[in-house]
Amino acid sequence: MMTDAAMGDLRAELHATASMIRAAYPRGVPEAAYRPLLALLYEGMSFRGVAEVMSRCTGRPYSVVYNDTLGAVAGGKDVDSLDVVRQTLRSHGYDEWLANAD
Amino acid sequence: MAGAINLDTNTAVAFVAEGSSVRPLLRTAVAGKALVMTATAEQEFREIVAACGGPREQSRAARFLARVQVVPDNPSARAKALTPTRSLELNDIVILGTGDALGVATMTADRRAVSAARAQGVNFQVFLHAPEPLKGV
Repeated sequence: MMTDAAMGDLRAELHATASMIRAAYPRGVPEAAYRPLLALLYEGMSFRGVAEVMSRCTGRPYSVVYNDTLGAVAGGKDVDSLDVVRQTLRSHGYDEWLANAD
Repeated sequence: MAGAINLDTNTAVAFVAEGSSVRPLLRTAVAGKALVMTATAEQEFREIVAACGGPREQSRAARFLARVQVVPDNPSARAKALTPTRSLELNDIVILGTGDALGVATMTADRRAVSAARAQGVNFQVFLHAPEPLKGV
């Protein structure tokens, strides 16, 4: 789970993303949601952006999250898992977050 | 640096990943070209291979790096003028921008970063490909 201290170190551009993840998963990102979440975040961020924010949110090393993001984007999609995580994120502003992607 | 191509971190990963489905395409694309990586990309690549690569991928990475010329980070002026966003990290700017300064294309799987730079008016010369992760093999 992401601590307030870790949040404070995060680049300002990533705060909204981290807040959305923390609101969607207040007890931490469950294993079943991890890879679908990487794929869904990549819809509105770079690989490095996903790696940076998710390494803070999960405590996994940046390099591991970067590689996992490559796999989540490349791999065969588990549509059911993606839909579950998408619906969870939507309750916490995912559609608006996507609409504000640069 | 005519006849060269700049490789992003994720491209190097795709080159050495076990069973990489994009490696044949990448090999064809770089045939006859000198391979360069920025110091930043090389460092990221080494860290990912150390963290996620299995023995075969680590051996392949060592052979791969022996063929690559590492160049200093030196992004172009127009790259340095870009504003980092959630889709365009500082390392994206450094790597894409150094290729830009060298006057060569950058190979990358990160179409989001490329499009984010384009949204700010900088259209980097890139070769986009599908991502491929290390498998730990």
